Amino acid sequence: MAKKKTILEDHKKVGSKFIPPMMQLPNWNEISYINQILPEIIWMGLINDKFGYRGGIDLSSKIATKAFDLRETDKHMNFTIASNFNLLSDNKKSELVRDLTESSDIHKYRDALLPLIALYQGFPLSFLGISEEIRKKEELVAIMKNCVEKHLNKYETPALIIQANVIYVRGSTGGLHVASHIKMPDLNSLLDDPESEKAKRAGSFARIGAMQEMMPMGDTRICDWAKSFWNQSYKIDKCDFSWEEND
Amino acid sequence: MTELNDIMEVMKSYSIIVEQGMNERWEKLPVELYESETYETIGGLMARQATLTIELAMSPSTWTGHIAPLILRCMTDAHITLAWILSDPAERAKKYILYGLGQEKLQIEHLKADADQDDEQIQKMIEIKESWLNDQRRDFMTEVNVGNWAGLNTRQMAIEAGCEGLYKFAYTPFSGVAHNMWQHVSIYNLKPCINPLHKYHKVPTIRKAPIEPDYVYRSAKYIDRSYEAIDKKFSLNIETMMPLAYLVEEFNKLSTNGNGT
Repeated sequence: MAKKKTILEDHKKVGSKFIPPMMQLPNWNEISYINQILPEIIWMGLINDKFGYRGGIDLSSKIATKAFDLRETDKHMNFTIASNFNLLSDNKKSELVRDLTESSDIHKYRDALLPLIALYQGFPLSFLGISEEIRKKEELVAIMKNCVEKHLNKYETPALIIQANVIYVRGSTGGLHVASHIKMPDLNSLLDDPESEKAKRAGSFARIGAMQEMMPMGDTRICDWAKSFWNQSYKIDKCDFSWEEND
Repeated sequence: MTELNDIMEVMKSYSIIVEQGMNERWEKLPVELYESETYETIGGLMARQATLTIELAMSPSTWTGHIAPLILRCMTDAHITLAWILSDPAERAKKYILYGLGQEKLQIEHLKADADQDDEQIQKMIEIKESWLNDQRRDFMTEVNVGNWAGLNTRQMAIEAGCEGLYKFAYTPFSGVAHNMWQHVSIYNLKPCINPLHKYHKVPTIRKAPIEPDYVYRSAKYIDRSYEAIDKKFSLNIETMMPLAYLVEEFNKLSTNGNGT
């Protein structure tokens, strides 16, 4: 006779609580993709929406790498995380703008990031300057809304691409150290063959990478921009209960 | 409208069956007056179950996920209490009563300490409560127990009384409603905003919950269980139809006639 399954058998009882296996790991920190990670990387989603995945990845990586080269610390910093731009001095920010202007890319960033630059106070890349393109507020809100909707599910391709870019840039700037026996997943598979097993592995790697980037390593991760992003998002558009019409 | 009228006719006759069943049981119960408190406890809890199912049956506006679970939680609690007492009626009925008296004594003390002593209505209420208490046991002999009355929690009582399933699958989920817990509130008192910029957050709503006669069906199951527990304990042979069987039969008739919901 089959043994009757005991409920919560893989959990550990601590007082009156049953702790799931994952939460039993030491130094476990819970990071919310939507709350904490998305506001930091959504800017790459806007660039991808404007220039496509390949073009977008190139642009995001380019600015993040340039910012990395301009950093004024020996510590590794990943500039796919928007808040890290706040750690550049005003001089370095100006230098970055100058550099991007010389390469004629500045307008691409300004156009793509216009919704974040125009609608949100304190967006860490606002120093890039505002686009010359004239857009109504409603249009910008619609672009932002569409972008957030596309990137809200961390398991879907648009969100996986921007998460993958976090780890890609970390790697390309020398901040990724992987044991020699571990085979690096092929991040390109997310674009080339998103339904494949290779892509699933790459997606999982990308999600963990983005999450680790947000884990405080000794320091406390400051969530100012993430909080501000969501609080401002609440104000720039109304609630939507249109589903009630068909209910 | 006709459908509701037809259903309410069934509910009226159901209520009569419930009451008849309660009266017949009380008449056939081998009451030993020397231990009157035992039979008062059993009879009182039986009447409580009957009252709750009748009140629910006669109030269709309460057949919603907002209100019906409150009544059903109370009924499952009453059944667990009754079933546990029936395992050792004399001893446990005494505990049950003494705990209730202690609670009333505590309430009187709170009123005396904290309420406005110049308020005549409060003074009158204290007098009435003291009189009710002292008629049963002098207050200076009444203990106040601030723990569980049975010395067990409800889950332990349910296990001992052989109704762990009722505890797991009815008492516990209904408790979420009674205690306004998230698993209820998030479904019944919040609605999702589908604006992605708002993280699909939820906002308060007074939701129109559907009216479901099924809640009365469930309450019929609980009054049945309580009646069966009494019948078994005292080997009663009851002629009145069981409430659940009656309700099912009447609803089947409604469905056959094409008037049911």
